[in-house]
Amino acid sequence: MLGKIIKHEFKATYKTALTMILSVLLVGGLVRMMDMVSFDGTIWRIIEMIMAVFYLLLLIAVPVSMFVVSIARFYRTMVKDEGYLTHTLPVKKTQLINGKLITSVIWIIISIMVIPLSLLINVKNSIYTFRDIAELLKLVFSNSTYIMDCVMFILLIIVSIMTSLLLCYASIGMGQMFNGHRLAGSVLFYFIFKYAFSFLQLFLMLIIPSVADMMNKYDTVNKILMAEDNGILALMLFVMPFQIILGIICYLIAYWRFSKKLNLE
Amino acid sequence: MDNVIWKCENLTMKYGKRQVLNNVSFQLERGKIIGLLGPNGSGKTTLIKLSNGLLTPKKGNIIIDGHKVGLETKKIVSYLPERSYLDNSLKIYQIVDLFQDFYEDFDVNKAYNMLKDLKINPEDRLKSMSKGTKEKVQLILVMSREAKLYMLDEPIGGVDPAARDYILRTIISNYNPDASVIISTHLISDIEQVLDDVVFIKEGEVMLHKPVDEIREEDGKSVDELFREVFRC
Repeated sequence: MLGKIIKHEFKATYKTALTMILSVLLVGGLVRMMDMVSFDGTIWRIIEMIMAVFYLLLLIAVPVSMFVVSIARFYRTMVKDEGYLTHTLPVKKTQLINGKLITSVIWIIISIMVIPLSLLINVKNSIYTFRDIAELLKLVFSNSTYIMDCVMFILLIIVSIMTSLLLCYASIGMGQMFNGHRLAGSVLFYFIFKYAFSFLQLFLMLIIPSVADMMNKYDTVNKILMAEDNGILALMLFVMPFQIILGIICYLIAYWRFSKKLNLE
Repeated sequence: MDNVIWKCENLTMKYGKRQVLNNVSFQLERGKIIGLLGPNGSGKTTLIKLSNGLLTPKKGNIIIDGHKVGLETKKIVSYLPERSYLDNSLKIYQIVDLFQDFYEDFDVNKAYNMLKDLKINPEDRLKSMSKGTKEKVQLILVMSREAKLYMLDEPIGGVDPAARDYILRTIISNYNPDASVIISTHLISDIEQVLDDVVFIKEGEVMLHKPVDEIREEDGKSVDELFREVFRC
């Protein structure tokens, strides 16, 4: 059943997702073409600049929009009228949540991966070329520390995306408590959970000595980028479990609300 | 096989402080078409939603075909809500595919035949249809399942009289000794002709549960007339 849920989630979302992703590639291509033809004149330069700025904004907006669209779909299909279909399907609640989570994570990751791909293809004199990437990969795979850092970094991104989605799911689940003000209730609980977990994470990071030391050692971006020891890995090793625990808590809250406390309008 | 398809025991439901169902207990037999009748706010929709796991009761439980409300009952209960609950952006055939995928008892040929009878094009998108046509589509999907229990919440409220007759004929033609149909409606005079039993519900309590023939013989009234008498404002 999980496979069927994922299949139908993809069917329902692929048009929106592909439109967003293709728009980035299209606008990027347009920027590249404009750069290649490059007419003289102030007006042309202004248009080029506007297009370039629009393109950069789009690069940021697409993953964010993908996230928002995923949450909006979850809200619509779990709490609004479409919930009458979703919750009467002969599937377990865990399968419902998992199916929606997996589909959303995949789309968001794809939308993030489009950023470097688009920059590589579309931007003249881009900060890196295919040759640069090959060199970078050779450097990374020659050093086990770098490999570990990269793997941990990628895992941390995936875990963070999942946790962020689950935080929203839990908030939407809790928002059902407010009859007639469910959306407002969901937003309220989102901020409550978000700030509570952020303060808890910061508190733990400050009181655990080894983590506090790492935070002092790598207190600027430059120091992080220049780090040669396993300090970054250590920091990620703290942040990751915390994110995982947070994700599990949110998952359990969402599951509890949608299985034991469901109350569709 | 136990003749009871649906029963509730000490069922209580509240929305905040408002008591919607008050310690209700009754049962319904297989192979019957049952009218769940009552004024607005009497608890009909709440009872149907509880039966489909869309609400959790404060107290008591509902047993359907020997199972508590959950995964097993969703496989055998076909539910038509009184609102539009399908994804408007989908085409009809996509929604049919979805039902076929999730429900083992879904008869896809029956669904397409009924769509054809009502001249509904499966290639059309739901959002391009009128409210009445959407309701017909929803009903077709629900009645295309070979379920043990059909729960229809206001199935004929938003459709034209000709479609109403078609719907009632469809409900009757799905009759079999193992399946029951529960219909919640205000349009009693239209639905009365197909009902076997009626349950009158008022302010969260069951006022009456009788076969329609018994009402006609003993009370000498139609169900509609009895309803107006019992629920007089």
